[in-house]
Amino acid sequence: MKKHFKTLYAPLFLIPLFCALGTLLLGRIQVSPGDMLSVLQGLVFGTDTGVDPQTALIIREIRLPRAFIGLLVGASLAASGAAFQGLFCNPLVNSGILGVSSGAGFGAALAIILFGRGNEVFAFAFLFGCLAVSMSYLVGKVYRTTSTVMLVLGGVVVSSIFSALLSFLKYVADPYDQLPAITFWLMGSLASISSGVVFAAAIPMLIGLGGLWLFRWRLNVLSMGDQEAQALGVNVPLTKGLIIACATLATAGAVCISGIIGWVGLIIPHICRMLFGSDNKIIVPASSCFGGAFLVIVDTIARTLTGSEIPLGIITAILGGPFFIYLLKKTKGGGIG
Amino acid sequence: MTIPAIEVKALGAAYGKSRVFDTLDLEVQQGQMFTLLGPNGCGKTTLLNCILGLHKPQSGRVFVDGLAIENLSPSEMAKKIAYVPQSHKKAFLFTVREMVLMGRAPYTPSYSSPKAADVEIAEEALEAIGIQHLGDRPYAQLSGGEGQLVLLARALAQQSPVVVLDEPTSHLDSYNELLVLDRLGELVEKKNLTVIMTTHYPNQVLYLVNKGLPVFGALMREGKFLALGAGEELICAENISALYKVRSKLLESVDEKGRTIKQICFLGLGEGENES
Repeated sequence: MKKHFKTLYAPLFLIPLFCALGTLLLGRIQVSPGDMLSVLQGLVFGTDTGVDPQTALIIREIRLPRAFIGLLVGASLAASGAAFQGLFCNPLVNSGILGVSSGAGFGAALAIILFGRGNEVFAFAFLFGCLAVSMSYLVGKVYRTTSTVMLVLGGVVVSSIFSALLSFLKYVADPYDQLPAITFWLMGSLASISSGVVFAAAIPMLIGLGGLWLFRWRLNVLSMGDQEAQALGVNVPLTKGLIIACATLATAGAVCISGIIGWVGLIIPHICRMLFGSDNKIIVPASSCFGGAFLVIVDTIARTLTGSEIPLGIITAILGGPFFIYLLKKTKGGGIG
Repeated sequence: MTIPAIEVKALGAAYGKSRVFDTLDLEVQQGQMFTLLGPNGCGKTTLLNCILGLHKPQSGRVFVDGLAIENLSPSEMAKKIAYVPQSHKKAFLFTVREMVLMGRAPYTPSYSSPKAADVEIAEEALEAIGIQHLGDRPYAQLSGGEGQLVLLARALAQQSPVVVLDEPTSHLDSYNELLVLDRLGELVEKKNLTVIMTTHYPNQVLYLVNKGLPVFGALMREGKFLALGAGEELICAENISALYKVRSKLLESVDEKGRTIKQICFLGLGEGENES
């Protein structure tokens, strides 16, 4: 464990950093690494860089916020996926288990129909994502305990209600304008972000991620099941509630800005477990780093492969699926099964 | 007068409307090996869960070390009583070291993880149970007996004076059964811990008695104690026949060191024709 710490953490943090720097270079206008570094230097030290102002503007106002939010969204989805898997003692659940994605999808569709494509979409997606999880949690508390089965049932019920409401909104939406916007939002994209929204969405994600990092060792104990965790001295209802709150802040923050991006919350924690074992002390930070790096790579492909943007959800599944199978074969699942 | 390690006063428990037991009284003294013997569904596990604070009793109270458990927080409880569940399969592949380290949870704040001193204590627990060589193996891939020893090591790392086990030797072969029982005996003899365990088998109790351990116990049937007391008096043909509704005979012999050894031999179903 000790030896892991120094040899593992430093390279782990370098991977997303390199991906983020790489994505600044790529796009319709190619930027040289030298120009990119002097723009970043100028941003930090306020010096004049001598780089073409248009290039500098693209890096500063478009690519940098997008890389930053890509890192955060990927990290949030993957870390909360890892947290939910530990919490529900089930490696197959993802960050949407308690209905945050369905709620956010409904919220976004509602805002698109009511207000068009303004910042209300982000706010509604975030609020309805949180609302859906709160409802699942309350359903799960019917018997005063927050048993895992009741929580999952709550999540299933609330998800299906919001899916039905979303279908209704799609049915009544204007098919030439609103319906394509809703459909594209649901497939996930970072295209619509602006620097103002970036900071608003970064706050819940950073708070949620911070909380998950703090409670990460407790996740090991919670994954032993409620009774055993309590006998090991954990205040199960309180700790569970806090972890659900953190994971929900992180996921809702991510989903509201990126739309629904599947796979990251499921596949990244699994890849990390195959590489580093099951200890959440390592898995939560590793998932955050790999998730961030993965999403930045996927987003770079999404905006450079063709003339128009490809939705992220499509690429995460096409890339993630085969890579996951390759890793399963290569590591023999880290001993799973 | 010393304070009992565990004291149960007029305890009643129920699941919804079905009552498990009404007024149980029990004292377990510090340093005892306390065995709770009884047929399936007699309420043993519910009693253990009440003592552990995992099941809320309907009436009566449980005291640990003189303190009422309803006033103790989960981590305060875990510092007083460690729980060893039956060896189980888990979804995640924690290594044995990581499993044992979880015994340090009551000493670790929620926002933190175990420190070097905790790792040291976990290592000592592995050594005491004799499973250091398993340290890096995934817990989920161990045999039932090895898994049970890991959970025992975790309870030891918890450093609580009382260890509670729910049928620790079910599903184990004879070798592993004795291995687990011997380790439990060592905890009582060398570390002066109090061990409370449930079991189906009277001969397990006699095995511990034959070894000369301070064995006490209770015979439980349909939510009531049929008998309470020292192990060698508790396990006799009459009591076992009444407990399980079977005919039985107590056999005595002498081992290679000249000590008396006892065993219960089952003769068949039904209560008649008891011999002792």
